[in-house]
Amino acid sequence: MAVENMTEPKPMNELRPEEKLSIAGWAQKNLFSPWYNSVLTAVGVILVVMLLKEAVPFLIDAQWPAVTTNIQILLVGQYPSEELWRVGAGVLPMPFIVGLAWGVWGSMMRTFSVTLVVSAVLTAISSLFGDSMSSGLALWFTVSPFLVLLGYAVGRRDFIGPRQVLIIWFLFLLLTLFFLRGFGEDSAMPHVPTDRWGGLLVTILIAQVGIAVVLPLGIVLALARQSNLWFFKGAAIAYIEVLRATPLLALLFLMLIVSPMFLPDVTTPDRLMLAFIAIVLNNSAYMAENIRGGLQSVSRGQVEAAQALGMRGSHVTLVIVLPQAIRATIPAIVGQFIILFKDTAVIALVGLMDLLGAAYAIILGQDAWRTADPEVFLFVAAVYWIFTYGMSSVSAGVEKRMRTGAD
Amino acid sequence: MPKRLILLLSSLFVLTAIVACSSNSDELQTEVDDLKSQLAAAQSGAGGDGPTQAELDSVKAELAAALASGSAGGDDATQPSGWGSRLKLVKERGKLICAATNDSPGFSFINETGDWTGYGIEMCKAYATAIFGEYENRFEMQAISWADRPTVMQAGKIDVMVLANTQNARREATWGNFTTIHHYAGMGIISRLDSAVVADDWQSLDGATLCVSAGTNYVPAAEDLKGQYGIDFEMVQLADPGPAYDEGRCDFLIAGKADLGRNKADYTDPDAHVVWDALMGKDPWGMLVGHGDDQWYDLVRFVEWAMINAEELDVTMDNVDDMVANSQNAKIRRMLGVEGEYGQEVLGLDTDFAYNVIKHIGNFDELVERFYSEDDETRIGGFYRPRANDALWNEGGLLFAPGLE
Amino acid sequence: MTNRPSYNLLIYRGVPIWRNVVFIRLTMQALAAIFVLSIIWVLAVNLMNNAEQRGLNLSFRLLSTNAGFDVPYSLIPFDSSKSILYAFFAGVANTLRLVGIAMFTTTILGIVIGLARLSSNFVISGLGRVYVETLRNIPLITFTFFLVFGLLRGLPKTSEAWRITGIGVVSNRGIYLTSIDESSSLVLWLVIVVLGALLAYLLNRLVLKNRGEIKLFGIRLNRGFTPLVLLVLIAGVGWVAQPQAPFVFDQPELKGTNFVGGMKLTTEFFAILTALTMYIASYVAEIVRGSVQAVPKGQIEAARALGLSYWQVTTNVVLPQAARIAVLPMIGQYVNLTKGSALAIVVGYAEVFVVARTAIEKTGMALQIFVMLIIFYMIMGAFFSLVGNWYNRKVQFDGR
Repeated sequence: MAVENMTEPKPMNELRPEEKLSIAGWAQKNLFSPWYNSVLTAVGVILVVMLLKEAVPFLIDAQWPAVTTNIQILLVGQYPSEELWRVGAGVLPMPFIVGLAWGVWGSMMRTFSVTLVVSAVLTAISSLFGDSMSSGLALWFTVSPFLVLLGYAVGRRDFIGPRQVLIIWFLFLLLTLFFLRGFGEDSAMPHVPTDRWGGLLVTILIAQVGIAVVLPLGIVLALARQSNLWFFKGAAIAYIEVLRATPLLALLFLMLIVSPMFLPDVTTPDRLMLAFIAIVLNNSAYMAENIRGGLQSVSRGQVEAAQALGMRGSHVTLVIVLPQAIRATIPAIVGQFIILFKDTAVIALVGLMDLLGAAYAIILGQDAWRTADPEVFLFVAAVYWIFTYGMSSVSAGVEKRMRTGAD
Repeated sequence: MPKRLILLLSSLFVLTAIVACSSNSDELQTEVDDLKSQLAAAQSGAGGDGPTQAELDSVKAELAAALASGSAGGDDATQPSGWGSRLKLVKERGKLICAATNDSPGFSFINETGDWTGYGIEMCKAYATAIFGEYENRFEMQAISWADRPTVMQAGKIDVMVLANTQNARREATWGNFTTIHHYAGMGIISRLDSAVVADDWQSLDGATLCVSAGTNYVPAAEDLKGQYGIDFEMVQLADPGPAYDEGRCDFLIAGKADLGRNKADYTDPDAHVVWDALMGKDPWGMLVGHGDDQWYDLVRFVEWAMINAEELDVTMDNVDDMVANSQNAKIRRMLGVEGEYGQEVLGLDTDFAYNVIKHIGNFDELVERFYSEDDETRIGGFYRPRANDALWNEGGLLFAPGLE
Repeated sequence: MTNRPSYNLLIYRGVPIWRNVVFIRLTMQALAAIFVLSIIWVLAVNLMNNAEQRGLNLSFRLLSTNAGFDVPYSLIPFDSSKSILYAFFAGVANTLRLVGIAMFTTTILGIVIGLARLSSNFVISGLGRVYVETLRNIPLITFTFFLVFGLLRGLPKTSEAWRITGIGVVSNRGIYLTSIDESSSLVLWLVIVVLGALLAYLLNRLVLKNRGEIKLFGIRLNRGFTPLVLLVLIAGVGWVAQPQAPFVFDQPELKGTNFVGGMKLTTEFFAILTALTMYIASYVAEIVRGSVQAVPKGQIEAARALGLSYWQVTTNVVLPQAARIAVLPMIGQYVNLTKGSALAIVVGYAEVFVVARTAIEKTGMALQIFVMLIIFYMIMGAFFSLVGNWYNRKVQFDGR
C-alpha cells in the first residue's frame, strides 16, 4: 500500500564524537547504568530468547521444498520453460548496472550493491545443497556477483558519470523488455505475452519502468499545478487530489475489473499493463506533490533575477527553477521509488502473478503445500526485504550526503 | 515551445476524433439511414418539382461513400453481437481466451514449472482444439478471482469461464449462460466430534461457528439455513477454509459433499470429524459463456457433449484412430465425422472436430481420471473424487448428453 | 503572481494572432480541454454500447434494492433485507471503527518503539531498530499475508485458549476481552468526576496565577500534576464510597467450543488491526525518534544550565516541541492507515472495500459502487488534510 513519505524530521545531532570505552565500561554504560536500565536489558534479552525459541525450530522443521520446488514460479512466474534462457540473458545487464552505479555514486550505493551480491552468492551456494534448482539458475546467480564487480570497476573510471549510467540503464531496460517480449511466432525468440511474465521478474520490471515513468510524469503534473493556465492547473489538481485519496488497491480494481467495460469488445487489454498504469497513476500523484514542495522551496528572488535578465517564462522554469527543485527533493523522490517498489506487491490481489501472487497461487493451488504458507510468505518477505533494505540504504546515503553538503 | 505543444495537442485531438468516429458505427448507421430516407424522398418526388438529377446524384454519391466507410469500420467486428460474432472474434484473434482462478487443486492451478494445469484448463484446450484443430498456442488463460466473476462476464473480454461455477437461476440471468453440468455436487457438511454440533441435527448448529469459502455460493446457502431452521451461527469466510477448520477455528465446514471425504483423510485426526449424510442443497457446476451469442453457446456445449458421448461409446484417446478406420458403429462414425453431418457446419466447426478433441484431450472419463482418480501415482495435482452422481446416466449417475440426431 | 495577461489583450495591434500570448494560452487550453473531453466521450460511448449489449443497468437507484448479503461483525445493526446503500454505510462504519482503534494502537506502539530506539540501552535500542528496519522494508500486504496466514494460524483452540486474568482470552476464534458494563451507580459517579474535574481546573488556574508559589504541607504545588492527583483522588473516593461499583465486568466464559460474554474482537478484525498497527507503528516510531532528535540540542543544554531537572527538560522543553514537529507526519500516517484498511480484503473483515466487493459480486453494479467508494475515500482524505491545515495555521499563529 502506498505509504506516504511525509517529510520525516531529520536528526540534527547525529555527528557525535564517539568515546572509546572498554567492553566492561561499554556494557556498564549501555546496559546497566541506572538501575532500571538493567531491568530493561533483562526484559530485552528475555524477549530475544523467546523469539529465537519460537523461530529456530520453525526454521529447521519448515517445509522448504514448498519454496525450492516452486522456485521457478516465484522467480519468473509462468514464463515458458523452454524460453527461460531469455530471462537469464535479458536481466544480466541489471547486476552490471548496479555495479556501475556503485562505482559512480560510491558510498551511497555500497550497501545496496553489497546486499544484492551477498544474496546472490548465498543463493548460488544454496544451490549446491539441493538438486531442485536448475543449473541455468545456479549459473546465473554465480555469474551476477562478478558482473556487479565488473560494473564497479568500469564505474570507477572517469569517462562514466551519473548521466551516462542513467542513459545506459534506460537503454538496457528497453532492451530487456524487447528481449522478454520476443518477436514473431516463428523467430528464434517467439512472442511471450505479458500474462506469462511473473514472479520476482515482474516485480522488478514494474518497479524499474515505473521509476522511469513516474518521475517525468510527476514533474509535468507539478508544473501544471503551479501554472497559471486554469485548465492545466484544474486538471492537475483534480488528478493529484483524486488519485492521492484513492487506495492503490481500489485503483487496481478499477483498472483491471471495471475499465474493460469502457473498451470495445475487440480489444483484449493487457492486464499487466493495466496494473502498471494504476501504479503509475497513483505514484505520479505523490511524486507531483513531492516536486511541488521543491518548486515552492526555490526562492522568488531567483525567478525575479532571471526575469530581470530577460529570460522567457518557460526558460526560467526549465533552467532555473526545476533543477533546483529536483535537487532539493531527491530524498523524497528516492523515498517515493521505495514506495513504488513495495506497491507492486498489491497487484497480487487482482490475480496477477508477481512475487506475492505466485506465492498465493502455490499455497492455494498446489494441493501438496496447503499448509506451507508461513514458509512461502517468509521467503517472499525476505526477498522484498533484501531489495527494499538496499534501496532504503541508498535513500539514507542521499540524505546524509545532502546534510553534509558534499555534492 | 508553445507552438510545438499546440501542434502536438491538435494532432492528438484529430487522432482521437478519428478513433472516436471509427469506433462508433451506430452513428454512422443513423447517418446512412438519414441519407437513405433523403434519397427515397428525392426519388419519389423526382417526377414533379423535386430535386434535379444533379442533386440526386450527389445524395447517391454521399450514400455510397457513407456505406463504404461503414463497411470498412464494420470489418474489424467492433461490436460483436448476436449469432456468430464471438467465433468470428476468436478466429480473428487466433486464440481462445479462458478465465479461471489459479487456486483450485485439480481444477485450475499452476504447477511447479509455471504451467496452467487442471480439469478446467483441459476443457479450455478442448474448445480450442474444436475450433482450430490444435491447442498449442491457440488458447490463453486469464487469472481472475472468485469475486470478479460477474464483472469479468459483464466486461465480455473473455470467451469461456472455465471454473467450478455453481449454476443457479440468478447467475444464469445476470452472469451468462451455463453450459453442460460436469459435476453434480451436493452441498455437504463436515463437523467436529468434540463440538456441540451433532451430525444431521440442524438445530445443533445454533451458536456454533462455520468455516466457508469466501465469495462462493456456499455463503448465501449457509445464510439461508439460519432462516430455514430458526438458528444462528457465526460464519468465518476464508480463501481456503480447510486448514483453519482442521485447527479448530470452526465447529463445522460446508463444501461440496464429494470433497468432504478427502478433506477428512487429510486432517490431523481424521477420526475427530464426521461427514453428514444430510445435504444442504444442490451444487451443479458448469462452465460459463456470455449472453447474446447462441452459436457460441451451442459450440461450447457440442464439445462437451462429444466428450461425454465418447465415454458412453468407449471411444478413447488411444483407440480413436482405430475407431475412425474400423468402427462399424454408425453413432461413432457420425460423431467422429467419418460419415454424415449433424450440425457442425452451422456452428462453424469442422466435421471431425470431435475426433480432434478426443485425440488431443480424451473423453470425459479420461479427463476426470487425470485429475480426480483414486490412483495417487497417475493423478496430476488433484485429489480422489468418486464419480458418484457424475457417472453416466446408464451407470447410475446423472451425466447425460443428448444423442447426435 | 500578476503576470497573467488580461483578455483585453486578445486583439493587440502589431502582433500577429498566432504569436499573441493570450491567444496561444487560450487555444492551448481549449485544445487540451477538447482532447480530455473527447477521450471521456469515447469511453462513455463504449460503456453505453457494452451496457446495452449485456443488459447492464447503470442507474444509481439500484442501490436502494435489497442487499441479500450479510455484513458480518457490523457496528450498526444490519441484516440482509436492508438496502445495498445501507450495507455500504455499514461498511463505512466498520472502516471507521477499524481506523479509529488502529489510530490509537498505532500511536501507542509507535511511541513505545520510537522511545526504545532513543534509549541509551543497547539491547532495547537494538530491538527497536530491528523491528523498524524489518517492517519498513517489506510491503504492507506481504506482511499482512505473512501475519494472517503464517502466524495467526498458530493461535490456540478455544479449549486451550490463553487466558489473561482480568483482561480476556485469546483463541483462534477471536479475542474476547472482559467487557465493562455500566451499573446503576454510574450516573452519580460521573457527576462526582465532573465536579472533580471542575475543582482540578480551578486549582490549576490558581497555581498558574501564583506562578507555582503555592505550598501545601510544605510541598510546592505543580502545574498540571497536582490537579490531576486531586481528580484521581476524588474519582477514586467516589468509586469506593458507593455501595455498588459504577462498572461491572463481564468475563467471557467457555460454553461448548465457543466463548460467551465479554467483548468480542473477531479474528479477522484482530488480524487486520494487528497487521496495520504493527506496520504503521514502524513509521510512527521513526517520526517519534526524528521529532525528538530534531529539538535543537542547544535548547536542552540551556534548560539544563537553568537548573531544570532531566524530567522537567523532557516534559517542558523536548516533548512539546517534538509533538509539534510530529503532528503533520502523523496525520500522513493516519491517512495511510485509512487507505491501508482496504487490505482487510485479505482477511475478510467487512470494512467498506470488502462490502463493496461483495456487493459488486452479488449485483454486478461495479460502476455505481466504485463511484461511491472513491467519494468515500476522497471525503476521508479531505478530512485529514483539513485537520492538517487547521493545525498548521494554529501553529503559525502561535508565532513560531
